[in-house]
Amino acid sequence: MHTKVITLKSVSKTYLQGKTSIPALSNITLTISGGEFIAIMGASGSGKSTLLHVIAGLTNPTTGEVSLFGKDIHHMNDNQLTLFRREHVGFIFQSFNLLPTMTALENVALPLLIGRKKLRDVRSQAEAMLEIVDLKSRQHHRPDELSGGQQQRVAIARALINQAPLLLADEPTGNLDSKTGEDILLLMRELASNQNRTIVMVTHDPKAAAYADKIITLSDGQIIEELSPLSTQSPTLS
Amino acid sequence: MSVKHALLGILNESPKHGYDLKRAFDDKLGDLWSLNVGQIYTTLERLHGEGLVEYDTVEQSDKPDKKVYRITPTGKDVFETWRISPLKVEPRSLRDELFIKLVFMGSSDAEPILTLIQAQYSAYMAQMMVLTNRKFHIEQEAKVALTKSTTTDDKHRIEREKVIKMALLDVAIFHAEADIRWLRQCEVRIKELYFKS
Repeated sequence: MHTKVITLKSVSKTYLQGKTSIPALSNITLTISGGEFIAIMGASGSGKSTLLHVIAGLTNPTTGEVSLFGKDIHHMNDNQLTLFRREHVGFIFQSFNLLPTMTALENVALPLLIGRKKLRDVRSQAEAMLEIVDLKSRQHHRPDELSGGQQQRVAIARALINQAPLLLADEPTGNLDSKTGEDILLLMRELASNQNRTIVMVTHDPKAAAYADKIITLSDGQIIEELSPLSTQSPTLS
Repeated sequence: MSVKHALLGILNESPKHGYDLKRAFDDKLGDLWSLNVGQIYTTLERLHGEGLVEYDTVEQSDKPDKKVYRITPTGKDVFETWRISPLKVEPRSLRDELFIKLVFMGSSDAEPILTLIQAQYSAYMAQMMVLTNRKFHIEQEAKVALTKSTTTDDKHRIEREKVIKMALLDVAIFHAEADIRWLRQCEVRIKELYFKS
């Protein structure tokens, strides 16, 4: 429960634009433990997406150290990193990113098919993932035959199939209406609380962020606040 | 707030004495609205005076007699009419103390008010987390209850109770969201005012 899943030590990231350097992250130090659901908030340009990309190993920090599950990911070569991500990290995007010509089941199985397994060998595994997101009855439908909320649930099932202990989500409810978004967030919260998955979600929506155990707010590339309901008194309502 | 109609609605389901009424009230609305027994009894007296409820006195051997209240036909009419009437829409009263603080914001220094806005934002955000946490637990409890329930009636009752509780938390969350959006807008306006070059 208390294993360190993500550790960032003095992480900074600077982008070069012509001759001027633009700081995107400055001096971020952060530890996220197993089973925690963390929301990262901040205005556009605050560095929240850069932070998620650094955690995912999609962007290298300019200075500082990033480790996932105790492994320093920014000193791995591309192959090592790809393999590491495939085993440890699932991604959930705002735009679902499903392959339009494949069925829900095939989309869910995709990470295993890329790992050169045959569909018939992984079918039951993919079905089990669709069961978790309550979509088993739609397994033969293609993305365009599914609603937005259903497509996002397929994407979550796909993120789960590697048994990845870490899920990274970028505005997962950004394209969904309020009630459908709630279903997705309740599901994510359940994955963290009941299955001990660690989730890091970037969002600008306070209602979505409120599902997390902790909200980290960024401004100008720095953490300006870490908020959890346990650290504050329970509000009284009249 | 309409304590009167809430009590009429509960008595419309079945007659109850004062303490049972409080329990039923807490069960339906207690998540967001706390009411003491005193308020229940004063409201019952008023309802009785208006002829909307009446009571039977039940003798108890070891305790004082208790009054079991039931709704009258007039009470039923009043409740039914109220239940389907839309609310009068009036501008929200200027209750927000923060706005008054804003009125007295200093003319030279933006920092104190910006600090205040950030602190207030955190308070609303933490409140939203507590309310959302409550939603998650209601959802989980309903799931467990549904797997244990055997009849269609039971399942329907569990779903219905969940929907009502969720709707109540939704309105509190949406209000907190409105406050948060207002604070963010204030912040931008104040920054524009003070930091425009």
